[in-house]
Amino acid sequence: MSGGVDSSVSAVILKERGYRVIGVSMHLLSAGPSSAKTCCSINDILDAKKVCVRLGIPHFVINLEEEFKTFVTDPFVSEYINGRTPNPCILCNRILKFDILLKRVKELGAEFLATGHYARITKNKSGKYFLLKSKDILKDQSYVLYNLTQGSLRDIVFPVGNFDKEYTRKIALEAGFSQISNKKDSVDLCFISGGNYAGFIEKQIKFSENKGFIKNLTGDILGEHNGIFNYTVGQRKGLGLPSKSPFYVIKISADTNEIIVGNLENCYNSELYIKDFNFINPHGISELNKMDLTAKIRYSSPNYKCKAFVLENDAVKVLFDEPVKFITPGQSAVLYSGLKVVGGGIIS
Amino acid sequence: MPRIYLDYNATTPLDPVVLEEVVNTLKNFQGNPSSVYEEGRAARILIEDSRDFVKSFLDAGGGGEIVFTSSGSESINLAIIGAVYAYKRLNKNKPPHIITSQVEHHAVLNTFKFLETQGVETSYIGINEFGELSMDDLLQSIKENTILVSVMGANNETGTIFPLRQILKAVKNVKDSILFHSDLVQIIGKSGFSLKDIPLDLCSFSGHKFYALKGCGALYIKKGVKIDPIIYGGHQERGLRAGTENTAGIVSIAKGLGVFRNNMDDELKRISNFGGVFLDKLFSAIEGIKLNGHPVNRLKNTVNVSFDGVKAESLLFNLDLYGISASAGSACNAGAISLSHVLKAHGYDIKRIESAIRFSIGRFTTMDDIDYAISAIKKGVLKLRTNPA
Repeated sequence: MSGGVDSSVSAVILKERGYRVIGVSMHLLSAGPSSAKTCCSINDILDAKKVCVRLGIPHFVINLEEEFKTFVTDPFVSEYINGRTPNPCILCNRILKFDILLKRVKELGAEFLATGHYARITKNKSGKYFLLKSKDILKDQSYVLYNLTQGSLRDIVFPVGNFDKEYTRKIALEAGFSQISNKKDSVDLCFISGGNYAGFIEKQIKFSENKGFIKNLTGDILGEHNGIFNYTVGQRKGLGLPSKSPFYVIKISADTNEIIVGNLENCYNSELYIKDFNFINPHGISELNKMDLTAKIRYSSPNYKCKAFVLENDAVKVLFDEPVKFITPGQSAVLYSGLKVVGGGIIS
Repeated sequence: MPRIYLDYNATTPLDPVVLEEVVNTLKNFQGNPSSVYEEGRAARILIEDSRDFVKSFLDAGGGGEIVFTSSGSESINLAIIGAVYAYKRLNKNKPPHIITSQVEHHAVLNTFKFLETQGVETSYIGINEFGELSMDDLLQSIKENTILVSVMGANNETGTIFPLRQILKAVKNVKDSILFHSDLVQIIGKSGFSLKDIPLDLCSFSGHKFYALKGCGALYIKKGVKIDPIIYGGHQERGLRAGTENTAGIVSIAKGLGVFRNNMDDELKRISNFGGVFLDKLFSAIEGIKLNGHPVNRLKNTVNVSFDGVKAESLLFNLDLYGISASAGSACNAGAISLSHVLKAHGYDIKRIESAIRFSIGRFTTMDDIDYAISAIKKGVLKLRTNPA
């Protein structure tokens, strides 16, 4: 429970349905006195506690500070240093929430772990589980959940997955949690205040000299950069390169410490490769290349029509019907068949 | 579900006799004690009677003062910061040096950390695996500019009792002018204590550890010891602590100590006996457990044990679901548990620290409570050992 409206309402609903509910919050960061309000700040955890006490259920704070650093923020930093643009929420969901936390709540005797994610889980007659987009398509979070497995889906519940966000807020209000019903959705990364991710990385890295060249596709030096972690593929602003037609970052090369820029036409690609692809339902792997699929290449991207082919070592090649712009290594590509999540992995 | 409270070192429930006195004070003594009329005088007398009672409880004799504060933490802050500021005021150019142990409560440790930012030199003395203070290190760390030593009476997490009289004597032998402060928060109300026996310069304690109200504490200051206030305003508490007095809280401190003293021998005997039984039963019911802290010199109400192969956090939460209240490490405001600095200082390995839980019993603990708790702890431990995360 983050203290937000979605997890609070999840608790309300499960309590109403007669489950014996235990609230748990993850403590991920030790907040300094001046730290900004984030999704795991003390005030938010106290909001979660308030909800639980009012519902008459226990509430526990599980300390995952070390695990968060090891499995989420350290890899976040090293991905940026290696020229990729990671999505830390993917790792947090995969390792912290739906592996470590799931085990911890089982230690409390829980049969299920419920979260306030907007996604749906269904089960067919032969007992196979499927992960689906949420009813409120604008709020859908299935993208960050593609690492779930048949094993974890069995133990997970998404009580608000069938609701519109507005309905969720209404339930919170009706349950007497007016303040929580009005809470804003979190948009920034929870461990970075004010969206300054480069500042966060700079604090973690040891070397002070990060400068390198910005080049065009033919290798001409156009300018200098002050650390490749300041850039992401598709970035247009903040390059400091005066020109008639705007430049975009099309490649980040960690080996040579270079940023490669080009114009918009250079930003399109019709294929991408995914490593360590997780199939929600491994049963269907052989059928994959025959299916009409769509892919999301980042959290907020549309679904692009594509075909996919399984390669060796759980790698997958995605071929788009039409070229797609700003494919970003380090981000995740998630394949869908209609509303169903087929699976996903990190773009290599 | 019935609740079994085994966290008396965290706080104690109000004694019914204290509660009655508090209600009476809240109802009938609402004046500002500083006011010059009838209601003020009535409240003033209650406070001064309470002060006299606390002094006599501590065997303070004629030579000392009690300052009532909001908490043990405030008393500790006032004692340490107040002593440092008074010294700085009187000795303009010298940066003072102060010494404490590594296993103090955060009220002391973080006050020291704050003073480091004010140019004060600090030393933190270690302990051995039984929680015994390294006397050699302590005495050797004393310097020409050492002005204060602060050592707790008993550790809140392990219950280990420090030989204060001996430590005090040794420090004063090296340099008589060093002020000796002790955090007695876990001693007062859990053991006999007399300033005649142990003539401390300063000592702090807190009402809610001996069945009085939360939000009130006291600091004893020996005659002649100079400290500066840390809260400025009115002239209350002999000019050492501004702010209108918490009459009911102050009364609760005196009453709490009174109730304790009236029945001290019986109560200490009973709790010591129960604590021993608890420990014995725990060790015979569950294998693979270790007692943390000192095996003998400890508050018998406190049982801090590590359970092999069990995460304290998970056991604690399970115990809560079984109706049992205990604690582990130190919890932040939101309730996340972090590793105990006290157990770390013992040099224990990380597994032992991560699996340590503190049970602390008190006045209202019954033998039935203990029996139920043992069976619940056993159930929880076995469950977690069978299904490790």
